[in-house]
Amino acid sequence: MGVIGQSIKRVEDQRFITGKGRYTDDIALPNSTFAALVRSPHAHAAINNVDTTAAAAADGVVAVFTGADLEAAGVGGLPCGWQVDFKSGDTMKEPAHPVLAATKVRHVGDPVAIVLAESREQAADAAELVVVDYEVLDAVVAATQATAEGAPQLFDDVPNNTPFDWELGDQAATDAALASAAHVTTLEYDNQRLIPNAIEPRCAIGDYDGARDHYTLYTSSQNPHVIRLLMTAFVLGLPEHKVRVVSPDVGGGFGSKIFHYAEEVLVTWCSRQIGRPVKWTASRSEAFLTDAHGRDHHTRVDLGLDADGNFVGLRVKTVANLGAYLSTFAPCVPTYLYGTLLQGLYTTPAVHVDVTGVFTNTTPVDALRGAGRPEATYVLERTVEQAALETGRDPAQLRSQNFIPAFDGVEQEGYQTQVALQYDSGNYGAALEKALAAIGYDELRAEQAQARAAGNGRHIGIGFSTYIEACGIAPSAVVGALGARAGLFESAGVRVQPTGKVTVFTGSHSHGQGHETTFAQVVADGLGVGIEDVDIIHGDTESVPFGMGTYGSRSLAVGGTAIVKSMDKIKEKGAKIAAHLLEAAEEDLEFAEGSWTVKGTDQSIAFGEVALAAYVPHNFPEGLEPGLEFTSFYDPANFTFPFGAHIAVVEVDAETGVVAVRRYVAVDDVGNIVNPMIVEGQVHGGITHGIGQALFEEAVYDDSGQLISGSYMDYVLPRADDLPSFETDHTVTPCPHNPLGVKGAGETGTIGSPPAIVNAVLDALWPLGVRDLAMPLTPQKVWQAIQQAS
Amino acid sequence: MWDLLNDPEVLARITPGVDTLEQTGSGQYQAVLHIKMGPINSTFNGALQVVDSKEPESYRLLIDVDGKIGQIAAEGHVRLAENHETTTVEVEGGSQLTGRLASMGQRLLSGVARMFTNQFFKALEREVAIRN
Repeated sequence: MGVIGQSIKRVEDQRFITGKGRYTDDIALPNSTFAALVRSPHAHAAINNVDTTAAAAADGVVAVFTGADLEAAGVGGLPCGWQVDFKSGDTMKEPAHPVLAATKVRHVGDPVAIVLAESREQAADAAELVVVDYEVLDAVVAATQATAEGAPQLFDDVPNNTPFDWELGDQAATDAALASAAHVTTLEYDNQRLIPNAIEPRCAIGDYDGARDHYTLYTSSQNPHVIRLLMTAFVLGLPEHKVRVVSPDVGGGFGSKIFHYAEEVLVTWCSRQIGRPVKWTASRSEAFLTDAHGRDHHTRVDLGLDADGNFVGLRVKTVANLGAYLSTFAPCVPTYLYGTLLQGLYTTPAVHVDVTGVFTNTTPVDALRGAGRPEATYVLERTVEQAALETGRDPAQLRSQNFIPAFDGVEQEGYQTQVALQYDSGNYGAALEKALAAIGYDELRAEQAQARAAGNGRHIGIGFSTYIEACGIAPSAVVGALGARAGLFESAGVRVQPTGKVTVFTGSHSHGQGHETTFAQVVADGLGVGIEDVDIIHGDTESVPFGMGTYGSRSLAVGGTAIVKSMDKIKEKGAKIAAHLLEAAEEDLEFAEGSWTVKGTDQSIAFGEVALAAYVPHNFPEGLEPGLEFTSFYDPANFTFPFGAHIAVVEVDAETGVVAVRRYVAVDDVGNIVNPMIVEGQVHGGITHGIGQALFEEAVYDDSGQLISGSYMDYVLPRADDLPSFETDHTVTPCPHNPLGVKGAGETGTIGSPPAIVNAVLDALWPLGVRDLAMPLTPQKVWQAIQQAS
Repeated sequence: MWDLLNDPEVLARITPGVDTLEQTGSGQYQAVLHIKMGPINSTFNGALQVVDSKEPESYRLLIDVDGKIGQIAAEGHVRLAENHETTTVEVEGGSQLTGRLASMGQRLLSGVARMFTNQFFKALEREVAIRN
């Protein structure tokens, strides 16, 4: 049995669980200074004056810089990586996003000045001495208020606080389908704003080396190469080859560490100014206020059904809150990662989605685990379940009767949706069947009926979510046409050392996903070496050729395929060397289990011997270069489309409104699986994250734009005792367009679980007259809904 | 009762959290507050203003103070109603918080406000009792 498909323990865990991980904050450069940022306490205010006199004179302070200093030095604003133009064809409004605000602050936490001192404490103390004269302005907080008449305007050059609007699908056909539908289910709700909460707060160290005129930025980031590209080309105007970006161990990101942040620019620039290293580490409070938030959609959805329960049309209208500035990926999340998924698993013949992106005086919103796809899945799966409840149909049956029939993408073509994408392969009914069998659906319904008949106060609910997502981000030509300003390929250098050991330089970056193990398994399988003979290098622009980073469950499908491409080249060259050494024809050789063998003989040569010959080429094929190392860039042909069926069983205590999740079955199809244990870990974490959204988490702003859920006193994360033991399983429908047949597994749980939980609670409370509930389903909210219904 | 509630010395004594209260003009005071409750433990500096004073029945109190962990802008409406031998004192108000106080303290602060209000009235009763 090969190493692919084995639950090998993660090799990186040894250092993580013994406290030997090396995170950015663990790096202590000699002679370092420490930075503290002066941040706006107001959501919206004009800056009349920034007085740094007292701060500059304080103990230990080395320098203080303001927005005016950066402007004078010609430092640019933070760039946005996507351009989504208006429906009218007008160009996206892209207001400046200053690294330090000089004239106006637009959200609480917007940085105004940076203080550098000999210690972190001295910097923090001195930051409090910076006196900023603010003229407080009215703030706008809610997405639905941003375009209202007379709403405060964030930017002079962005009318109606609207940088873009967008649509996809056939509006006329959808409207007509809904007009003639036998039943229309309508929901209007907020998909609430979430805060990412990586365990490791962001951290950045800038280190300018005057002797070499060379910069190093250490940053807790998910994609160091893109940070280097954006910072050098768009913000600081530095020569890219003179800047090295290192992302060492990164303690979680969930998307929030994809983006290029002001602090990365500041430590780099400041280090050059003072000729010393500059280190900044976010406090947890800063993380709440300045890590890009996620979700925050206001949506109205109409789903039309014919008399037999077939979906005939889906219309979706969403206002997406972008926060105060366009973060790096912000425009693509509520559009191309959202609207394109609204076909779901269904054959709905007419789909139309309309999105308006709006600025508000809140922290910028960008990709958060799932990024657009959890929002799309919530639209579909809440509405489908609601339609089942309203029309008295079984939700599992209603789904399966509308499923796209199975297709493998090889014999049968990919499925062309109404919203641009072509699905690669799928067998949606199989996943649902497996989930129904796992949960014992008929027995559960019987138990539910019994409890209802007994009237014993046990309110049992069963909720479904059958989702699809687009991963393996992304084919460059496709996303380029859609407005991406960077390609989304991946690179991998595979270096076979003279002793046959293998070093892989991958452009995807691990911040908890287990790349060092999964990628090693891929290499061990491909080259027939031991896992312990493979080292995975990532997160350093100096050693890795290039990289687009890790997000959108792309590492294995895109980064892994790049590794396979390099291994193919190694095997091709290796075969030439082997043929020469074996004095056989190349086409008579076969490569298996780490050796080239002359077919039908016992003549063989091991991989290690070929590697040695490549570096000691005394007896070598004529004209062949020495060495055994290749770099490949892989640009995927399409997205990958993982899917699955999730079923939640909840019990609601009507007296207290507390929702207990009794069981959770997840059958996911992520294509082929390299390491089942790592996939299971990703699924567990994802479901937990999604249950967090369904039941607990919410970023709350007051009307003046103060984030009042700015600490763990008010922002509730799920805990182990809130969760059942998850029951996970898989179906396997390989991806037809990458050699590993993999689809991606990092986000499935987060995407699938929120509607499953909410649907289960609605199913439990439907007989009491409760018809809708908005996430998070806090006990207070559930209890009130029960009271109002009865 | 009106005099009592307009005497800076008395106010400083009976208002919870007030360390010092100095009159700087007619109805204008400079205050130093120290608030300690749970994770909130900070000193605030700023101005107190008495406006719309209608002796002997009502005035509005505007508080604008700044501290390391944020700012408090508060407004209180104090109403007095004489009723035979007793005077009913009503205080109604709201506050606007910024900074860390807002993101971390908002929920706690309603508890703090309730506690302070209770302490204020207890202290006021004591002052009245001493005078009688």
